[in-house]
Amino acid sequence: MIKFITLIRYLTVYSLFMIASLQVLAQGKEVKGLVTSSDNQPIPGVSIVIKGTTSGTSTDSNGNYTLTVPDNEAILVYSFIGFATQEKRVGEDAVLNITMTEQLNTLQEIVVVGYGTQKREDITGSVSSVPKERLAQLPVTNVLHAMEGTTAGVYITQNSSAPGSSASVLVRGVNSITANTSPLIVVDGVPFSNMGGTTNDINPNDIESIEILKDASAVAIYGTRGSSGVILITTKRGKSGKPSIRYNTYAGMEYMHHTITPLKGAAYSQKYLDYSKQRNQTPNDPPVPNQYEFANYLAGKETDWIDAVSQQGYIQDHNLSISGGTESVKYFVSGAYQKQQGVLKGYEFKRASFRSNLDVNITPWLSAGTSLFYANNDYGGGSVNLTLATQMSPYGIMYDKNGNYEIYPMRPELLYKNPLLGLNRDEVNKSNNLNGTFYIDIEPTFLRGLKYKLNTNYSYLPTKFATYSGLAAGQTTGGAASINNSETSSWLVENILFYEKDLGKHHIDLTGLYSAQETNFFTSTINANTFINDGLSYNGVDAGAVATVNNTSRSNVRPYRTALLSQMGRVNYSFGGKYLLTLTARRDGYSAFGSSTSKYGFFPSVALGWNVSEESFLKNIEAINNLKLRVSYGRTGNQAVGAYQTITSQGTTKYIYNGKTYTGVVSSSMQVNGRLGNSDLNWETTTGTNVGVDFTVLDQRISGTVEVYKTKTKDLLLLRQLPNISGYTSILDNLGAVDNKGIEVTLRTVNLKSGKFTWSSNINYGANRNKIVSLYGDNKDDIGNKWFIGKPLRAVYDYRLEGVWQNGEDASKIDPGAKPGDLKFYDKTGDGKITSDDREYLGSGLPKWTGGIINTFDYGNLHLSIFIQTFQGAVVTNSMLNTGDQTGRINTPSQLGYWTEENKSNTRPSLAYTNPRGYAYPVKQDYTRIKDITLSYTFPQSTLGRIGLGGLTAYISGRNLYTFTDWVGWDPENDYNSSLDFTGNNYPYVASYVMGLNINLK
Amino acid sequence: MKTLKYSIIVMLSVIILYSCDSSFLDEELKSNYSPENTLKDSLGLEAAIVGLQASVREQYTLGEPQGLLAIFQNGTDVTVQGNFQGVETPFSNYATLNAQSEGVSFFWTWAYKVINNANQIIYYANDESLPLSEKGRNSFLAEAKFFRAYAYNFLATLYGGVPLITEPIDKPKTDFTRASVRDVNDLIIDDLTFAVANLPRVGSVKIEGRINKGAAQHLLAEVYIRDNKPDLAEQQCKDLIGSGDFNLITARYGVKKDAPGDPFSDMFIYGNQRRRQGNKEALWVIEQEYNVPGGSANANDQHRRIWVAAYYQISGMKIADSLGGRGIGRIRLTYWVTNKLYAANDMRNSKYNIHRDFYYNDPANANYGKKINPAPGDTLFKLCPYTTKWNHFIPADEFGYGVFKDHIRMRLGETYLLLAEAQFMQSKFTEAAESINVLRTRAHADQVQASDITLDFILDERVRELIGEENRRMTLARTKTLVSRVKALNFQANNTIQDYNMLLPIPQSERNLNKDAVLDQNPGYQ
Repeated sequence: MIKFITLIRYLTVYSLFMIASLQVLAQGKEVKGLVTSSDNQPIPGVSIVIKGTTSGTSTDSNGNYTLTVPDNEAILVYSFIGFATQEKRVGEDAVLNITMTEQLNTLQEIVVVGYGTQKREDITGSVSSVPKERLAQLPVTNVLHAMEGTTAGVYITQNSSAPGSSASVLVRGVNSITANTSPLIVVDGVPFSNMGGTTNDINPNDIESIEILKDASAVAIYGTRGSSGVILITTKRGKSGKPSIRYNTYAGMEYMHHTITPLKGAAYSQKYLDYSKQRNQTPNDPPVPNQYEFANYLAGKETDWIDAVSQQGYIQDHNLSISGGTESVKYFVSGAYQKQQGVLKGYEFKRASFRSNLDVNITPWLSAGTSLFYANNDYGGGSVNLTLATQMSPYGIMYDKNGNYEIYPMRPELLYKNPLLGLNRDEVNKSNNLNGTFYIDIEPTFLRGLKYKLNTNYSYLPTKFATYSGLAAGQTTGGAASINNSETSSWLVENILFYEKDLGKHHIDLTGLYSAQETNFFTSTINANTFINDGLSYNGVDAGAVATVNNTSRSNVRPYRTALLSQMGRVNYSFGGKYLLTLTARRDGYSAFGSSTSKYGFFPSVALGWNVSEESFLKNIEAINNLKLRVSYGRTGNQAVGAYQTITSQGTTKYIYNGKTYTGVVSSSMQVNGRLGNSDLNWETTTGTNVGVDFTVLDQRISGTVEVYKTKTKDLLLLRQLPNISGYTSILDNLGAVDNKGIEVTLRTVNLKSGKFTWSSNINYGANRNKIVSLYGDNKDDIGNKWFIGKPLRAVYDYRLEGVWQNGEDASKIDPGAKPGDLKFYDKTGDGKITSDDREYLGSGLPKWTGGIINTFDYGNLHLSIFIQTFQGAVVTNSMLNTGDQTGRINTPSQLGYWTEENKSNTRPSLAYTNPRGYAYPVKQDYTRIKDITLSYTFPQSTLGRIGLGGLTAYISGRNLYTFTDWVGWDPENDYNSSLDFTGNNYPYVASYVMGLNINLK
Repeated sequence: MKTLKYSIIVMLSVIILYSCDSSFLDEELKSNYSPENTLKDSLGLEAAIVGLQASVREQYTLGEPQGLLAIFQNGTDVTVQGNFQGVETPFSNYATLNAQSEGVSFFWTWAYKVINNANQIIYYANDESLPLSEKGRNSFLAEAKFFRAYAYNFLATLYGGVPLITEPIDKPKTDFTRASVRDVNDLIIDDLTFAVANLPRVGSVKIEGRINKGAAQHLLAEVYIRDNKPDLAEQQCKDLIGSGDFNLITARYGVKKDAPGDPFSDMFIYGNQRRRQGNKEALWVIEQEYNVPGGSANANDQHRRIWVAAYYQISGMKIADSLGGRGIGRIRLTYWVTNKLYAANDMRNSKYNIHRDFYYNDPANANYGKKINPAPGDTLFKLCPYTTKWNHFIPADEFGYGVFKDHIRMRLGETYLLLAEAQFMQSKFTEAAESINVLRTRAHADQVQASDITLDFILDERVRELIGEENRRMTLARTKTLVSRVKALNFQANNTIQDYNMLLPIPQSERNLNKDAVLDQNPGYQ
């Protein structure tokens, strides 16, 4: 209490002092003016500071400012992100109108670097910023989709185009085998992905900037979570000035981008005849496999099942934001709604989100603020099954005599149900993210340069999933319901101290952190079946005759708690802006590490930078505007051990005695696995070196960055396969090492500038070489796991396909048992026999290189952007080609083909082929895609004035427009693990065309 | 000023101290049981026995790959491939059987998982500090040892000498070596001797369905025969038969006793298979039940789909309860079984036990009610004769991916066959004939004489009695007759089988993963 009173007294005294100083200032001269861009648009939020002081102001929403200066000699510094900073002496004038020029040179750009910000020119590590234009005017629901292909060394794969699907991200290759290799995503300083959040929870429109930290120096401050890279997302915040109201919207159509076509009637029937012949079976008459197909076959009536499950896709997005503020309170508030209807019936994604970012300067030494958001993702309900649609006979029966969906269109074939049945499945699938950050900044006046920040966050993420399949959905056994609820709650407390000091040419910047974080996850699932009728859907789950309950989430995670305790320190030192040094160290303690370990890991790094162009010997060379060399070395970690994975545990199972249920515990079974624990389990350690050059040359026409890096990751957390003799199939262990090395090039060029026309390009290229250095220390490959020393991860290890055995060829010596129409493999060992030793390394699922090029054309207010992306050098298995034993029963894509005695195909096996050697059909995954084209027009101020708007941009944008590839199947990028199997489901890759408006109210 | 500084320090310290609670990073396993915190009293060990039995049930009841079960029948004398899936093909075409064949590793893995579960129980139950009575301790040990022996017997019969693991593994181990068949047999015999001495008789088990002494005696007899100790085997069989705890089913009983049928077929009807349901012949029944939690391993038991023909694929035929539901005929009986094996008067060959004739059953069909005259090719898997032991139809589940019948893993009928085999091995041909005649009497089949008794005759009789029940590959491997009988009786596999196929190969994946020692491959396999 006494302390509080003292504080109040202090505040009072301080305020009086402040008022006094304002009075001193008030004796000066008032200047005002308008700040505009080169195309005469007013720029709100431009910072104007009197040089040598901290006093200043910023422009309001119309670009106007008013400021009192001490005298005519005062120099005003105008700065704004994306524009060149200008200085202007006040002089005699009372009105100072300023035209800011857009700056290609990004050196002054403020970059978020984790626990702070830095000017681009002061950065020593590898920090890539996602080009700003990728964050607007693109029809994407997930921000990762917008980033795909735009940043060197960052591989983003959109695994599915299904509404609401996310993407997987790799930064600089794979440096883990079994552990998660997704980068840590930090939103406004909060380790978001670590606390259960997904990128679907982030409204792309709220994002101000995205930085990707890639090298050890940049990520070491994230310790055990840094080794896969860090993505820093910063949301928009208010700026002082009149409220700025923006409404951004787009709407458009979606289409299947890359389709396959199942066999049509005659070809389908022929396939059945060929199958029967090849399997020595007597075909039916008429020549279709199933009785239900007879009538339609005889009537010549065919169904296009792909057409039946498809619909017109569309996407719409509405986003309203209000921002503004005064010197003491700044706000950014937004609300957004997005709806995507898939190209397949029933697929849908809706997101509603709100955000409120608030910054309050309470006193000159105390400020506080919040970042609050709520997002609700609705993943839609029952949907069709595309896989089944591709498998349906063109002669199958869609409707029964009552007009309902026929459950088994190919009866008596009961394995393949009607692909449309899912539309009658009741389903709700929602996730929520309620997320609040509160911070306090204290900058004591007694020690200039010192700042203390308390950053706290609490997040609460409940999910709800419920599904019910009744008779109409093909559930003939009396209805089946499943309900899963889960909640993830996390808290974070960070204490951060900053200290900044200039001593002559020496500049020093210190950051210290002490933080704690805890995450709790709980989930429960109820499954019930056999209901009286379908009337109650999942709301009457207690009416099921049989119900089971478990504590496993839909992705098979059981309840857990994890905790993280961390300390971090960072020193940034620079001398005269020429020589830069960064030292960091982080110590992380993580609860899930083994009980025999200390649970703490230590991660130091060092980085040096040299702004060569500041040296006198380069200053006079006109062609070189900027040149900087950077080198860094450091260590990072991957904590990736899930909770309880170090403890030997048992699963639970059920068994019946005389029909009565008993629960048992089991250490190992084919169905339920206990775990063999490893109390020595620790983090993975990545040590890496990065060398980079940043340059701007030829009068700022060309700028770019070239970086080379090499990292070595050891103590890999491997889910190491054990001989099953152990009773366990695997154990998590710290084993082995992998190397990654690569080169990244980012170029920004102005190719042509003539009058109002500008053509500029943004090119990125990244090549990564990954290789396993060691596994178990005995220099032996692990064939069982397909890990080969000296070869990359995700190896494809298989037979080399030589062709197909033809009639008359004698297979009996080299591959006894092979019949004509079976695949013929290369005898690598040359021993005259095909054995497992003839398998060989055929490539890796990791790309050799990826790249992207954004070409931008500006003509006055017209803006055209074309983005092409490429992915090269990966080899993966294509399960579409592996039809297993089902070819005789289902329809297959016409693109596949098969061997017959007549066509003597040398690439596809016969329909009787059962694949006894488990050949997995490896193929090249290469593709090049015209990812998007956007054409926009910014209406001139003169027009807008008449209709009362502050700004208006209209655009059209197309996405996934064309793909160059040899891939057979839906799309090379989509990761279909399911083969032509009744259990999987597919979603095609999607192309979208939208029109959008960005409106700025006055 | 100082006060502010002080406040900041206090604030920092409070937060830091709060975070520095020493237990903050400790981990307490809350979402799973562990052996340490569960296998420490009789409740935990009871649960482990339940888990162990659940893992044993997985042997023949899992669904993927679907053709797996066929590997124990195809490529023997009893069945050939019908509407095959693929995984079973190498076992009919021995030229393609190799160490990567999936069936080879699947069952190997199953066996060692069971062994690990049993070892966990044995390890913890042997802990003297546990609050268990001597009798209680021994009953847990006896149950666990029975199942451990069951799994090792499976391995030793099919693979020969295998690595011998008798304690739970607590850290990664990659230097396993194969023990001799002698050593494996010694462990099995030790375990089963203990089990026979300490398991309760069937009438006094804790809950019906827990393993009993009779099952242990039966298994021990089989092991003794394999180990060439026929006198000891004979003694176990006689003790078991003489205990009076079990008897052959000789009269109609159960849920369909008034429907057409015979005593033999009654045993294999859903609802009749357990002891409490009237089946006093069963020594060990592995239970399954439709739509009961724990009623199956994963609801995917493929027995019906491999054994029952796909008759409904014939135009004019519908899936019917009386025909056994929806099979897909992955395997079919060999010509020898369907046309040579049975005498006409043998009950085990009655139409209730071997289904042979098909009649159009779709009322919409013009030929409704008429007997089907199969077209060439229709008998490959659509209209082939099949044993009715896996007939099962649940109206709510017409597709019937899985079957939910109990598995009668051991019954007294087989005990008589083991007895006959043990007697034959000691040249007690008259006694052997008597043992077999007990079964033939029940089946109303002709009696046999001492002069009829040969190993082949006993193996034939096993098929008559146990088709669809026994793991035929194990029987032929155990008696070292696989190759000779396949050459004589299986037209599909007779050209490719070679002497070394008597044993299965050691899974190549295991050999690869076992990097610090060599797991010798069985001769003949690469």
